[in-house]
Amino acid sequence: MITLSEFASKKLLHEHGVSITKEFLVQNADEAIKAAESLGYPVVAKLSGAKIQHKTELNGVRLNLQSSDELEVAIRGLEAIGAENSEFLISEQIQGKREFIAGYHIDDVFGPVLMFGLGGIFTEILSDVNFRLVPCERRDLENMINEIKASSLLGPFRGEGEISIKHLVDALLSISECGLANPDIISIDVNPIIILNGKPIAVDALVMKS
Amino acid sequence: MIDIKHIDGLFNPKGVVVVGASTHPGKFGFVALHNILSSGFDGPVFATNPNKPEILGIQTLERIQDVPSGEADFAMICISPNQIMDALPELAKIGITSAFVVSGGFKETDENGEALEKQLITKAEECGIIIAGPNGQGLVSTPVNLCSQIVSPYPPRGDISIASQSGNILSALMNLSRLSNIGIARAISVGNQGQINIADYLDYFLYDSETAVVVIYVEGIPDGRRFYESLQTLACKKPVIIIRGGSTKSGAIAAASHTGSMASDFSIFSAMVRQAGAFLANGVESAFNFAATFSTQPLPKGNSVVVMTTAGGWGVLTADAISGTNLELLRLPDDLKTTIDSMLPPRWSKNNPVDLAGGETRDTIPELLSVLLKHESVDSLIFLGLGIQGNVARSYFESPYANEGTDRMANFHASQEQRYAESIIDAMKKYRKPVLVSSELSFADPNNPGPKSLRDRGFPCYNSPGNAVQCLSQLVNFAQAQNR
Repeated sequence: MITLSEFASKKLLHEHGVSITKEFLVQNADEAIKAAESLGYPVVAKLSGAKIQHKTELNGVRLNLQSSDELEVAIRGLEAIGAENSEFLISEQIQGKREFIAGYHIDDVFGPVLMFGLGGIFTEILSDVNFRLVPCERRDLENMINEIKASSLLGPFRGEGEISIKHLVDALLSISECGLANPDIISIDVNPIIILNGKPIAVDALVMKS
Repeated sequence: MIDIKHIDGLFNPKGVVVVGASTHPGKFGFVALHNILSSGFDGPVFATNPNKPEILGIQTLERIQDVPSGEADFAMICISPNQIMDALPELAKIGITSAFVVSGGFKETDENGEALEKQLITKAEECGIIIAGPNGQGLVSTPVNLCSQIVSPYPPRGDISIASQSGNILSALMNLSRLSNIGIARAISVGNQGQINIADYLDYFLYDSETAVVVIYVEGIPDGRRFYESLQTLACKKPVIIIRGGSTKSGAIAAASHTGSMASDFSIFSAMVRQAGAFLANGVESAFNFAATFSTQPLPKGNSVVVMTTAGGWGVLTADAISGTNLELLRLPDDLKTTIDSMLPPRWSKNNPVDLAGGETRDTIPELLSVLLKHESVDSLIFLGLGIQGNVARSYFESPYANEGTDRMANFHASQEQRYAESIIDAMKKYRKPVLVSSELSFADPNNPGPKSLRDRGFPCYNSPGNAVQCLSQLVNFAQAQNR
């Protein structure tokens, strides 16, 4: 089983049409600062590399870095926990109040399925996720989205406008196409998807190949 | 893939042979023959037994080749697995094209049994015979009066068809059919699905004009995608209700990925059912309620519902049950209110639920039913309070103080109940709108003339408003999917 890095996973999804965070892969603090200047603060710094699957468990994510000083401190911290040849992913910080999760999985009985549901820190606890066998029609994906228990989150929420179902369906279709077009892909996790100006952006992703 | 015409041979045979008929009423070979004869199958019935005894008035035949060729095309096989291999070519010679293998000792046992089952299927294919089972309890086909099964409740004729991975769940559904007098078309215990699997039966039910509603009980599904495709094709034409066994089994094998760990067996299965447009029931009783509803009610045009009640509390509970569903408790239009005002004393509820508050006289209920159903804003109606007068009648009939006066009153009450029941069915038919009746008396006192009159005419009476609301909600779901 091969696990693509976050950077490679998102790049692959982007090639299939999924909107992702703007980001750069860098080797050190100087490169990180250069990247951040082109993205604009605030930024996120993450430990990256083939062996880094569970960044959060490693404490390998630094959010909301507002300046080059903060970024430099963050990179030093990440260097301390990372393995020898660690790299760093510098991404724009997406500010959105709503997080979702999407995924692609090959079920033993029904074959390829797509998942969509409530993301964020309570994802597993609430397990508010829904599935569709893929390939399928747009209408099936609309139903999949609307059937989640937290579907009221799709409307206007705490000062943010309603979510564009069309864009969400586009993103889900792209994830599905990415999986179906690559027979060696056994799973895709996109977690979280954050809503920015009503549209979904893949903030983190993990693709696994057989 | 199995040819549908071959499956039709199972359910519409010209003639039947029971292979391995027995003189002992405790054996499958006796029970099967008994049930085929007692259900009054339309065609000729033959039975084989090497000792040639007479069983149930039938002279059994020593060998299969003694059966006149071309007289029977379906065999009910009750002999041991090894004997079946030899019997199949002989059955083919006399013109058998389909068979149900009741016998066990195949895949359900061990590796040897599994190998034997493969041989059985290969042999059957060579002989041009299609095999249902093995290790199943048989089948029922009411359009040809055939009860070729060993767990015997023979249901009334109807348009609900069932394929079940458990013989006892099948039998439970048929018991409910008998209890409610809402009938069955085809029913089959699919056994090990050696050759014909549940998806094949779904394909058949789509094609079968006797089938309007389908219920299936499934545990494991060998080919999920094929099953989904058959289900989806059927479910957009005919309502399909699914009972799932073994749904608590965890499917979290691929726990390495987030999606894999959240993709439990049941969450994918239930999503697949929704995607296909079928209905998942949480048990046998609710599955039968759904099926009975689809079988007896017209499809509603929309989701607005009026609750008509002579029993205040039940009306309140029904309104509660409606909230949170896809149904809408209609806000009574002014013209409807005015009409009801002219029919009832001023103490009626003035709202939906339309609570008559004891204000009804002799003809109020049939008349109000018509007024409500006729109104264009009403898509469906739930009726509560059937049997209350019948309850009063019962206490008079059973009373130690019974006299001519109480008898006369009791008879009036009883005849009113019967009239209400009939007017409910007539109004449903006349206005082509669903009318669901809920009364606990349907089970608390099955002989109450209200629920009994409904039952006698093959019309459901739900045990609780919750059941009625759930069923109506599914009816609306199906109707909306049809209109898309």
